[in-house]
Amino acid sequence: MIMQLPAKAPWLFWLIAGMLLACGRDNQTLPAPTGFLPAHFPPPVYNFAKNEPTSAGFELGNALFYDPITSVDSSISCASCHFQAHAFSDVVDFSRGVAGRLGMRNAPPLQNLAWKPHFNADGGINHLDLQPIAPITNTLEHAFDLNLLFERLRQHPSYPQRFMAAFGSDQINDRSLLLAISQFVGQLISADSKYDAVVLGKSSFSNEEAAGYRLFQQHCNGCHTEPLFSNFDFKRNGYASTTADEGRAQVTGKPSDVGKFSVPGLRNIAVTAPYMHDGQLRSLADVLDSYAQPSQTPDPRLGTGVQLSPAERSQLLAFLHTLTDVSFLTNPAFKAP
Amino acid sequence: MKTNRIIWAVMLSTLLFACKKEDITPEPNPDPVTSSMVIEFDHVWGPNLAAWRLNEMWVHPSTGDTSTFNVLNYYISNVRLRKADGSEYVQPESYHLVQLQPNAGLSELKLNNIPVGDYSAITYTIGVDSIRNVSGLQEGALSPSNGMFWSWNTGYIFVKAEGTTPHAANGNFRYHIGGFSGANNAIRTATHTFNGSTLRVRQNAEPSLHMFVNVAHFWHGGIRLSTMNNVHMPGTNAVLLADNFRDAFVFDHVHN
Repeated sequence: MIMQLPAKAPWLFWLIAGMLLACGRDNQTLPAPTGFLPAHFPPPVYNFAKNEPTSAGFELGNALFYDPITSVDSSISCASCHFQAHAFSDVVDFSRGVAGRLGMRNAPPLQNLAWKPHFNADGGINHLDLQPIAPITNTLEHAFDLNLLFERLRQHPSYPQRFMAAFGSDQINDRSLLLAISQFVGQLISADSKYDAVVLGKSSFSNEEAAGYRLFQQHCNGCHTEPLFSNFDFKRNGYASTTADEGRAQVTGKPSDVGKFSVPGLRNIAVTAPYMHDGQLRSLADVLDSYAQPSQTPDPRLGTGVQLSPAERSQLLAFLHTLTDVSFLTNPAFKAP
Repeated sequence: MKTNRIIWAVMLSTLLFACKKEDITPEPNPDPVTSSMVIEFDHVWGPNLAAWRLNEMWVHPSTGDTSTFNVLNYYISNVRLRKADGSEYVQPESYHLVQLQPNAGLSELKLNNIPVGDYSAITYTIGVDSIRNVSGLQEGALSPSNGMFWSWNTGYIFVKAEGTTPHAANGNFRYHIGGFSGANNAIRTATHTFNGSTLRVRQNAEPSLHMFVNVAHFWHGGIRLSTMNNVHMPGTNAVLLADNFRDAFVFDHVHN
């Protein structure tokens, strides 16, 4: 039975609406920027129920992401090395932290983080909420101290109110800071590329892209597994770095893990150059060259390398370009506030 | 029309009730009456149990190595108290950070909401159980900003001992002991029976458990500061130091 609102009592509608809103948090749940939790993705690793995204929380996280207040001398922000146009990665091999200090690994893109079981090229960080602590406290990056950052935010003219709006308390601590950042970066979801449209039956590949897709499934999908384009394992891909970075072994201490790195997702790969953990490969053509002629013994899956004909190379590259998600790269919700 | 009004009234009142907070603390069960107790961690040095402090220079009784601590912090967690009949009180959400203050050798850890009763033994973990190392953001004693957390390799520093020594090239020693999985597991559990005496937790009395923590035990087995002065990640050395530090805890007496 559908109840008709008494026409003479429009106030009743507003009363009920007001009560319904009062029951929830003070702010609405965020409308999905690019389709919250894409239907063709597996369930996320991140538990959104424990940190339910709200518009106030998202906007606070967005503000913190772009605010150099998070570095010791207020000179750099998260966005200094994570540019939206490059899927929140950087265009240089190693990014610079405070005082021009050079980092030790290529800045990774930030996308679909809610599906990642671990973070950093060595997988050392096991939870999205804990990830920002590393760049904030690393002396080569923000070089700051968490407690000093909390204090600086408490003294700020507007942050206490924004934390209040987001979490119902103006307390600024590990919990509120990190949950706010996760509300923003957790929403950086790229699921609207041509590839996605094809998967969802809304578009189709060109002949060249389709041929590239078949090559991809044959040679790459074992590790760069769809739809997130990573199996989240640690592998040697045959690329010998010139840096002394031991990769996964830095975390596990196991000699067998030396030179293994987290398999990166490939979404927006055409706009995230340079490549590899040390950013020494300048183009996707260089990456294909590296796979064709490995400079160190790669994972057994790769055998002695992946040799493709010139035609196959351009087909594979055509497919990789279908992973570019322009709506993600230009979404106004992700820009600086 | 009248029926309609009644239905609306029912709906409105339902909404009012729906606004009630769900996370109201449950009524205390027929819980036993509770009180508090204190664990006194009394840091000592060597076989004579000499009163030891931060910022004092000490010579190791067996290796002869010299050390001056300026930091000694460690987690005590998952406290259980056992009665003579074998029944146990398991403290919920039991995570405590012991932090020695400058020039101090004694640290008092107060445990609240302990059911009154007579206890004859205690068990606790030195460190943080593996679940809390893999469950994301924690609060209170386990807040990452307490400085007992590895940001680049997620996990708690169970024991942090830092200071100076003439035996290290840079003049410092730094033991950050942690690791929660596989062969690198540095979580250690200690159980102490009270040698026949009883810890009496009463509503009007706060008993204390006096423990010795023999700091010299870090170097038990002949570990030398010249070769082991910088342990900063899980691994064999952290495991060795965790074993030694667990054995540093010795029951002394109960004070009722």
